[in-house]
Amino acid sequence: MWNQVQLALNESTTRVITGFAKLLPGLVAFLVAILISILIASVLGFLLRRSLRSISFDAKLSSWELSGLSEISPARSPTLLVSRFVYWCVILVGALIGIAAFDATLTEQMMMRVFGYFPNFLVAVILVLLGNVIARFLARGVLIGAVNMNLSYGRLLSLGVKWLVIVLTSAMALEHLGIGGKIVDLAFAILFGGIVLALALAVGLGSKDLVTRSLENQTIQRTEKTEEQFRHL
Amino acid sequence: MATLIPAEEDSLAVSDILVPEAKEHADRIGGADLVLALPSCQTGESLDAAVGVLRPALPAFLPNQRVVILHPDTATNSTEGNAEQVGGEASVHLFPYPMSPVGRYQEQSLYQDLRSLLQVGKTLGARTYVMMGSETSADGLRGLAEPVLNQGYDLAVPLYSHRKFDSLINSGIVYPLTRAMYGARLHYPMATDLALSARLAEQFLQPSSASGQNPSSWITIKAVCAGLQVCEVRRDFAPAPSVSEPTDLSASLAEVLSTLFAGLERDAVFWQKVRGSRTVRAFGQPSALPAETASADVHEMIETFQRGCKDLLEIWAIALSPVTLLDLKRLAKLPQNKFQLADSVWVHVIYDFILGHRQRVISREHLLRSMTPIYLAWVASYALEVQNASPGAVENRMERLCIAFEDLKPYLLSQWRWPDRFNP
Repeated sequence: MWNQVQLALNESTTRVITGFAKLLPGLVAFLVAILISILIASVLGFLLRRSLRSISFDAKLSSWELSGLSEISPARSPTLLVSRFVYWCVILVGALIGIAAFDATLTEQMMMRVFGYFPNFLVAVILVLLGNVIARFLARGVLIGAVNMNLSYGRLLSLGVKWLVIVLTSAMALEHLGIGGKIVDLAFAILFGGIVLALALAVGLGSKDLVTRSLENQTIQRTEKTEEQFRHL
Repeated sequence: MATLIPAEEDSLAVSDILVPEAKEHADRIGGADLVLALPSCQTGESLDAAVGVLRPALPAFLPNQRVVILHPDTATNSTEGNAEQVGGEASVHLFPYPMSPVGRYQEQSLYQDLRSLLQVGKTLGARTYVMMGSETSADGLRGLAEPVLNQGYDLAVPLYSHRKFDSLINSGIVYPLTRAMYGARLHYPMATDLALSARLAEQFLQPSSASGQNPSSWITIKAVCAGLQVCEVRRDFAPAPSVSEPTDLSASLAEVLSTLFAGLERDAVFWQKVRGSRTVRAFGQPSALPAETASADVHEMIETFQRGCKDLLEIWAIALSPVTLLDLKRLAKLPQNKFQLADSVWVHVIYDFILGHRQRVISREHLLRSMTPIYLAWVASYALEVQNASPGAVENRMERLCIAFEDLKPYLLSQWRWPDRFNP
């Protein structure tokens, strides 16, 4: 009885030690892959950061109407954002190589799924970025126009336009990523339908005269009054 | 000195631009000494009236000269297409051509009409070109054409006596800025009434000037940069524009500033060498200006500026230096009776916007439109200051502003050349 227990223990210990011995090279390979990828990522990130700074990447992005990117960047610097993105991409590749040392089929499956999903992810990122740029451009235009018309709710209007575009493009991005499914569609239908209905009711039923009076008071009458005395052109 | 392309080099290209009907018409007429464009005569009646006013004055003024009147093809005249002998001394031909009415500061239509005038005139071999965008009087035509015809000037533009609250964009920005930059005291750089010589026409029609369809600069500025002879002709009050002024001040201001700033970018090599300014010879006697003492209602303008200071500060901060921004913030807090925008602050605002426009810190359209509240602050401050002032005092006030623009030009120069230099 005791001999059988001893045998079972010996066998299990041998199995564990053998398993561990089999795993050890993979583990070491994983750690080495991670360390090398960290090293490569650091060098690459550093070089990228330096070269982007040398061409004033942040300033150029601002002048291309991409100032929105700086707001989602660490320390408001798109240069940092890009270099960190590259840094983590290299580490991810290193990790995948390391995992391949354990089990090649597992990595293959992961790669298939990741690369299959990649186009959707890319489109979603572009949509979010584009939406951000368009939202800020439109919001700024609305704000300037509203201030020039001396409208007191200019900032509110501008904020409304900005978030409308951001929410719309975010929903499109989510759809591309396959997150949320029909819930997103449904939420949007309800949200937009609600906004349009509210506006229609406000203007059609109760506020038509109020809106007209408000706009007339704030723009036309003032313009006429000042135009009488001042000729700008 | 001006560098001119010989006439024969591109004369063929210019005549080829004309539509076939216009070419045939030009061939029938044969040639002209003076071509006059009347873009504001859009109807037959207005054309009849204008020709009726101008025709009697031509024999004495232009003896034995061939005159072609270029008018929009929408206007039909009873004598259209016929050569008319007027008193046996001058012949007048009407020449219909696609033109649009020119409103003051409507850059695109002015530019296109001017090109039409010069193209037709060049095909006809004209020596003098006159554009009357707003005024159609015999006196106006004689006054403008005389220096070009008989005194060797290349460009004559009107020098209007203006009321203190007229042409404010010109008074507050365009004139002082062009004077400081280009060194010539031309009071109306964007005049739509002007006379020019064949030499300047040649310059304007050069392929480099014609590149693109958008005006990159006004012809007055081109003439100054080319070192041509420029003069002013004193006229009475600026006539009401033939096209009603647009109600969107922001769009008008952006349009004017866009052309002005783009011209500064193009002519940077020229204006960086200019120091001070010189007077331009003015013909005619100055009109006596009536005293105006109407109190200015600037409440809405100040309110718009204060709103701008609250909502547009982030946009202004992109273009303006911190000190200028601080000055504007302080100004926004002042009550109406103490509201005064110092000349130095106003000049810094303009110069900073020029630099921002050049560096494309944000969309140029947004940048220029965002300047409207600050411009209104200047108008309000100026109006409060001169509302009870005599015409002489108003003139002195404007002169002080022009000097401020000239004095602070080194600031623009240094920031233009070294944009990354620290700018407190």
